[in-house]
Amino acid sequence: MKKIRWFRLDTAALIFPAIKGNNWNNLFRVSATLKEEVDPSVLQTAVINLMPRFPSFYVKLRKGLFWNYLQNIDSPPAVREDYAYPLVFMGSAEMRTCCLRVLYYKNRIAAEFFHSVSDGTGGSIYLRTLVGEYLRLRHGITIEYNDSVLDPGDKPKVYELEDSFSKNAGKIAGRELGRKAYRLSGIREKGDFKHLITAVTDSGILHAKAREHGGTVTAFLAGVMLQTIIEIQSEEVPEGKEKPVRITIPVNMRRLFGSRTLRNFVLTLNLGVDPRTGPYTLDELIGNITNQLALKATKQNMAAEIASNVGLQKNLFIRAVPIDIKHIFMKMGYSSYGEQLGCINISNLGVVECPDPLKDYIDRIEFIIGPQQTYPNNCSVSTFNGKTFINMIRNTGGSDLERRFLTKLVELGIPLSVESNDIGGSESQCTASSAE
Amino acid sequence: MYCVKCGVKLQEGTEKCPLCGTPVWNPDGLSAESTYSSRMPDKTFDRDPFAAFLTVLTVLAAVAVSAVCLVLYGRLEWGSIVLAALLLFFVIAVLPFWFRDPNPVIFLPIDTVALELFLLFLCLRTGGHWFMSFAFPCAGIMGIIGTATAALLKYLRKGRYIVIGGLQIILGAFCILLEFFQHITFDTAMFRWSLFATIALFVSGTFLICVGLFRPLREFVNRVFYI
Repeated sequence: MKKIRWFRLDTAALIFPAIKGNNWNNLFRVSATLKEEVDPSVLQTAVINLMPRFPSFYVKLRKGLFWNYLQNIDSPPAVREDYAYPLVFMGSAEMRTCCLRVLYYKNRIAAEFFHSVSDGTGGSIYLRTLVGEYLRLRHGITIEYNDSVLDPGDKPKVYELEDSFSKNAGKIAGRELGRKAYRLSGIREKGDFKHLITAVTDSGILHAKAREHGGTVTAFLAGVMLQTIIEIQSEEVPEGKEKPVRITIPVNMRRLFGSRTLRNFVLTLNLGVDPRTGPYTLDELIGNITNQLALKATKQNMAAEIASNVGLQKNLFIRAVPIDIKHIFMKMGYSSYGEQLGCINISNLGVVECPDPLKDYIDRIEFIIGPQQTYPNNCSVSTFNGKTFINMIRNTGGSDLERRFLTKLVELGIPLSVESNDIGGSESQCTASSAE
Repeated sequence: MYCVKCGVKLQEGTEKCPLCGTPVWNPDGLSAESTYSSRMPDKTFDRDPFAAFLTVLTVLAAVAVSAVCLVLYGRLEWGSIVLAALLLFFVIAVLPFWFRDPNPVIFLPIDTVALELFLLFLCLRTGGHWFMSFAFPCAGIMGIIGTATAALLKYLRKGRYIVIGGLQIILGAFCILLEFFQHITFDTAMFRWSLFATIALFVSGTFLICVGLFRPLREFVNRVFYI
């Protein structure tokens, strides 16, 4: 395969450069906590070694006349010590250097991505391969490479670099836009500080509880979150004036379409209820989410969703418009509809698998998505080695949503241990307390 | 170690529950191990490449206009007005982006002077008699109001709602003045549109001042609009 110099942005990735602002952009993080302290020099070598294997990750964002594109970088990013909070704002200057960050702190290795590069699944494959390479260099372990941990010596495959959206677009475009959803609100932190609360639980107990209520883990957590937000809305909004409450759930489409791309291949569904129709029990909410997921997350429906996005991207008139003008309209469209249909994301990475020798060295694998542009809270979930990690991030002062949501889980019989980045550095403490 | 209120397990040594803020009894005096470092990110200068693009575009436009005029007429003719407008555009829209932290308190007076000079040039070039009685006072007052607002917003730590509300009321009053200058210069009728604008700006300005003065209302607006 000849050396690739640049990539077109895939269909989902096109929106992110358009909507990024001076203090917000769409980032996500995957991290692995090892059972030993991380050696930065070995980690740097591992980052260098992965460069040829992941050409679509070692890229910088460039601006063309009509579209943005990703260009390969010549030197890999330098690993750096982690900050007081995850997902520190990535400015345009940094994106013009590299859209990937590799960070370390004590036992943790983290990779942060600008969302145009990849999605959670692609990011977690990169992270596991990076950790695998790090442990190979550090301990000389032999790894049985598979689809979750790629062989750094292999050449990148064509199917890993494809834009699966264009390939799998349906013939008929179809998109459902509903009433705007209820907005979670809060007083925004000064600066870029983000509060992170991590709840850890036994995945077996969580799974059993979800089945007891008739849903998957995602549907169960979404149901509990719906109940929490309905409760918050009922305290703030007079009866009869409530807005729909919806959870935005990203659907990994690799399984639906048999894709193995390392680039973005995820679509979001906004699932929920209108509280004006009457009160819902938890089981009804979970059932609602389960049924809506079954109804909407089908290959045909998703292909129609993709077709509406790809159709816009391929429209000749739209293509001919200069990028800055296109960005203005994309920004307007995104702020009018992109984020207005859901209240919060619950992004479940699922069970993160690792080959055996790696598993012995890793304690945790976590997944964190940043807050949205117009709402302050987000929630991401990952499961590794029998533990589920629920990461709740926010860029506002109060922890009301987290308290209500996690206390509900405890009341349902799910034991949780909770950690926060607020007990860390003194500056983060100050920022957190000053805002409250 | 558990939170007595939420029932969640906490890290050993945690001083208060991160969910509800309840203090945690810590008889052994342990301190919690931080999961994140105390390192805060550096503020980096994020120069917009668009500034370079606009600069090149402005220079190219200036060269093209000059060349066309010189070829067609042997002198600048109307090209001088276009060149002056391009210079004004550069000073107002492009120049600030070349600086790390463009201070509006410095740039707004510069912009005002540039605008005044452009209008004076335009007036002289077209043989008009509207500069001293209309353009000079209007642009000058706008510049003073803008600079004062920028200075208050930049250097006062609190009271943004009051400043913006006050600005709206002053702008409302300025609308009447603008129509007065228009009347004495161009002999138009008085109070044809300014009263409507003044009333609207006065109402919204008063509302913002109320928001600024009453803390519960201010917090409600901040929360609802996610400011």
